[in-house]
This record gives sequence, C-alpha cells and structure tokens, in this order.
Amino acid sequence: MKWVKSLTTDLMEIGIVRRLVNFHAFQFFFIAISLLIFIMAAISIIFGVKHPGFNFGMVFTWVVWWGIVIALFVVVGRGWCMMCPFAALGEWLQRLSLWRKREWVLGFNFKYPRRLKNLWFAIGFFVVFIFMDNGYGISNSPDLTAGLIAVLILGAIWVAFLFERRTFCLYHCPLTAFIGISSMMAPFEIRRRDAEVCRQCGPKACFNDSEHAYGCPMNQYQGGGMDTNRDCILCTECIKSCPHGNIKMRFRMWGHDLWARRKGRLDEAVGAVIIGGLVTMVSLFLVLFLPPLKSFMDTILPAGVPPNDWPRIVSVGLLYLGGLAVSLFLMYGFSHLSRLFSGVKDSGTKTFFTHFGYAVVPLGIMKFISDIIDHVFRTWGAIFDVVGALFRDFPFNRVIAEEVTVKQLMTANQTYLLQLVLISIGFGLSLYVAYKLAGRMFPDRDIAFRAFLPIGAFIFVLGMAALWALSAAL
Amino acid sequence: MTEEDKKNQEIPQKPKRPYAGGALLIAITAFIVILFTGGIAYGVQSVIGGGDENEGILVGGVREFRISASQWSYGPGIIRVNPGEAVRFIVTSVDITHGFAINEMDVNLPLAPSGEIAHEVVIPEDIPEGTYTMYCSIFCGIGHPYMKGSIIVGTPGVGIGKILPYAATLVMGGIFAAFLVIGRRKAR
Repeated sequence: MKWVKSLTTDLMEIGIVRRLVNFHAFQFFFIAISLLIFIMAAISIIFGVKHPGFNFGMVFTWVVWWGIVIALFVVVGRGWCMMCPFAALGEWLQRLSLWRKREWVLGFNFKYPRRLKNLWFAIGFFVVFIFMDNGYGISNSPDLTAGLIAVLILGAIWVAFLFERRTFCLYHCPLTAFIGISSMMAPFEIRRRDAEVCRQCGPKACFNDSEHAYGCPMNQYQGGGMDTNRDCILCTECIKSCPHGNIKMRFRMWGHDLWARRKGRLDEAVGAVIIGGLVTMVSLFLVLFLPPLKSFMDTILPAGVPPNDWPRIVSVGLLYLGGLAVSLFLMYGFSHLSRLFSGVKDSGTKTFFTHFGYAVVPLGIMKFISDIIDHVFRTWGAIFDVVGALFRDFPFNRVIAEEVTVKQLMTANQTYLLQLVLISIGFGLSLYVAYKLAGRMFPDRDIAFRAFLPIGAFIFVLGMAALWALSAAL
Repeated sequence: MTEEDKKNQEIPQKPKRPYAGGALLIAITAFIVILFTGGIAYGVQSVIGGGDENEGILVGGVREFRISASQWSYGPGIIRVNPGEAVRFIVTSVDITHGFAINEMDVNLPLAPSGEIAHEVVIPEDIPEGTYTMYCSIFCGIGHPYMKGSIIVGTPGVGIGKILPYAATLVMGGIFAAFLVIGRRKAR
C-alpha cells in the first residue's frame, strides 16, 4: 500500500495530508480547540472549588495536559507547542492576524541578542519551576496555578511585542528546554527534501516569509539542513511557504536526532542530563532522604505554616538541587572514565559530556511517562467526576463533586509491571543512543566500544535509581 | 618539500592504545554497575521497605489508625488489618494538599493542609489475603508517584511485588550485557 510506505518516506505524498497541511488555518484549528479548553480550565481554576482534587481546571492541567505534553514526545515531538494558546496570544498580537499573512508586524521586532541564543535561561526557568511546584505546590494550589498561567500569558505577549518571531518559545518558556530536548526522541520530522533545490533557492521563503505564508516562527532555516526537532513546533509554515514544495514530513526511528545531529551542544547536553536526573536520581534522593533530612531541619530551623514551613522547603530544595548536581557530576565523572577507557588524549572530558549527554533522554522520558501512568491508571474515575461537577455549574465549577470515584484500570502490581516495561524500553533505547553516539565519535569500533562502556554504566545506574525508587512502596 | 607539505602528508595517527584490555574494562564497568545497584537496592529496601507494621488500636471494637501524610510518605507506612473488621482511618496532612486512597477498599479521602479527616470502612470478609496499596490520589509534585504505603490483610506470603524489582534488575542487566556482547563482537 502506497500510503503505508509514505509514512516513512514523505507524508506529503498522501493527498489528504497535503491538503490539510497546506490549509492556512491548519495550526489555528488546533490552537482554537486548545484555547477553548484552556479558557474553561482557567475559569474553573479562578472561580471554582479551591480543592485540586475536585477542580476541573486543576485535574485537567496537571494530569491530562501534563500527560498529553509528555506522551506527544514519543509520537510527534513538540506537538503541544503547535497548539499552545499562550504563545499563540503573543503571535496573534505580533501579526495582528489569526492565520492570514500580513505584510507588517506589531511591536519592536528586535533581533534577540546572539549571546543569549541558548538554553541556559530556559534550563534555569525549568529548574525553578519544578522547585516551585515541589516546594510550594503549584500543581496543588489553584491560586498558584492561576498565577503561573498569568505569568506565562504576560511573558509571551511582552516578549512577542519586543522581539521578532517566537523568541519567548525559543528561550524563555519554562518548558522549552524540557520539551525541545525531549522532542529529539520523537519518531517524526519535518525536513527539506533535496539540498540542491534549497541551495539554488533565491527567496529562502521557508525562513524569510513568502507572499502568502510566514517564515519559520522559531527562527529555523530548513534550507540550511535543519537536523533536529528541538525547535520545530510543527506549525507547517515552512511547508506552506516553500515555493518548490521541497519540505517533507515523515516518521523515522525513535531517538534519531539524539545521535544523528551534526554537533552536540553543552546547554542541550546539560538539559538532557537534568531531564534524566530529575526523574531518576532526584526521585531516589527524595524518597530516601527527605524524612530524615526534614527531621534534622526541624531541629535547626523555625517551623512555619505550610506551605511556608522552612524545614520542609529547605529539605526539598537541598535534595532537589543535590539530586540534579549529583546527576551532572556523575555524568561528568563517567564521561571522564569514557575518555580514559577510549585512550583519547586530544579531546577533553567536556567534549565527551557534550557528546554523550543526549543518551539519557529516552530513559528520562519513559520514566516521566511511567510516573504519570501510575497516577492516571489508578485515579481514572476522578476525571469523570470533575467533568460531571463542572457541567453542574458550567463554567464556574463552584460545585464540589459529591465523591471522587475509586476506579482503577490496573492494580498496584500490574501498574508497576507496566512501569518496568516502559523503563526497560527507555533504558534499552538510551543504551542504543549511547552506542550510536560512540560509533559516530570514533570510527574505530574498538575505541567506540571502550568509550561506550562507562556511559552505558551511567545509564544503568540511572535505570536502577528509577526502578528501585518505584519499588519503594510495594 | 615544505614543512606544510610534510604536515599534510602525515598519516593521521590512531589514538594511543588504551592502558587496559577490553576484558579488564568490562570488569571495571561491571564492578561499578554492581556497586551502584547494590547501594541503591539496599538503600531502598532498608530505609523504605523496612519499618515496623502498625496494628492500630482498638477503640470500641473499631481498629483505629492515626496516619500522617506528608511529602511524600505516610506514617505509619505499613499497617495490618483483618478481613471482616471495622477500621477507622484518621488521616492528617502536615504540609500541602494530599489524598489518601485504597482502591480495593473503596477509600479516597481528600486531605487539606493541616486538616484532619476520619473515615470508617469494614474490610470485606471475602477480600483475598495480600498486601494492598494506600496512595496519594491528588497530584502533589515530583515525589507523588512514590507517596504510597502498604496495607497487609491477613498473613500473605511473599507477593510478586517484592520479587518484581529483582526480576527487573536482572532483565535490565541482561539488556546491558547484550549490548556488551554485541559491541565487543563488533569491536573485534
């Protein structure tokens, strides 16, 4: 069947896909749906019951939305960014249009400083965001969630007013490093077809705009041989604007970008290790050491009223940052070991760290998925209860659900078994990425194998942290 | 021939041979892996998996448990009940909002910060003996998936849950070993 072959060669060969993608309101259609649901969630969060377990907006945001964002990593990459309503508000204001091409833009349209074109700010925002969630319980508090949404909307609009294109999405969104790096694992890509056509192309419309479509809002140049999904939000503007029809979409091997990109970057590698360490080493640290550390902090710090109880906040903060630091330190140490094992003298440990850091991503993503699955599969009934409660007082959600149904799709052991399968898949894929990266770094297979050994051991250690932390309550 | 031509004609040197043979490096890797795995498994089993079972106190014929919920654990973490008896849970969250749920016993309590909630259930007569899970039913941060405790009903034997982590460790060890074997074969 021709269309099956097209899945892995070029989806644009399928007529209905081609027509859909070339439809100008294609992205707007997805944004409109997500905006509608987001407005319902926001009203519920602001005006609804203040309990996170009974509030539609809270359950939708921190269980359904978060689950969808992560699940999309292993299907299409930055699928959420394509339909994100926060960035869309800034973009609509900048373009003064919902989807039609206009010749001029609103705002200063400054170029973002070259020195700041990296992920360091985004990684910092992500680390702070996760700490705020764990220290102050953003996902647990409707007021803090409403505050976060307000900050995101105002930030996206303000940055869109100052800088060109989607600068906020590229460098400021607290999730962009997490989503971007994780999306490199996706088995889906939008890339140029024929490099020669791009070389001969005068207008470079995929970057510079065409008469009827915008250039890439994420500042990427398909014609230059874009080799990573990190900044591709699947908006399909490049497909619409290319005068030669030289852009293709296709499914490919999972994790391809992680080993196949031309050159690694330190910020991406650090981000990758943080993603992996967050759900493995940090989790293990919190499980093992939080109760004793908090008991100790109780003796030296003044008690407070939650969530401003300092012994808990300081303990969580120390273990959280400590877990991330240990993950990075271990990766650096194992990278040094990899350098020693390989016998290579002319490359530093940092080069090895930058090259192999990406390998941790699949394990991290699969652990994220296994964590969310545990919650969703065991509290399945609550989603129907909160939706029912919302429609009894639509859209304000001031009526509390009479009860939260106890309904599970799997028992604890069944869920744990599924989690083990997912973690094993992530572990195997991480090893595969590390193996491929070693092969790319060293054409000599013996040296590549020697360099792979310590990195494989590091991935194994993270895998054990993930596995045993989950086993704690069995 | 100029210096530059000489330089260009130089055959690129392979990196120096590493200081040790492949077998030794594999042995060092295996040692590191076993050391870390042993430490992690021992830590989890002794710090978390251990702890005393709590049998509660009998108040007017009802077995009463006072349970404290905090990020990200319950205290006590292991409780023991018997089929057919009435049980009262008095649960308090000492920090942020949590939940307290036991699906098999139809319990799901929302716990407000610093609030106390009491709930009484009768353990079904026909519930199979085994270890059930009490868990947090409200998303509460990165440690949420680990916020669990055990309810032992009757006197069950060793459950599959206790064996699974060891089995999974072996499976993951097997995957890693497969990479080593294939990689070593290709390296030759």
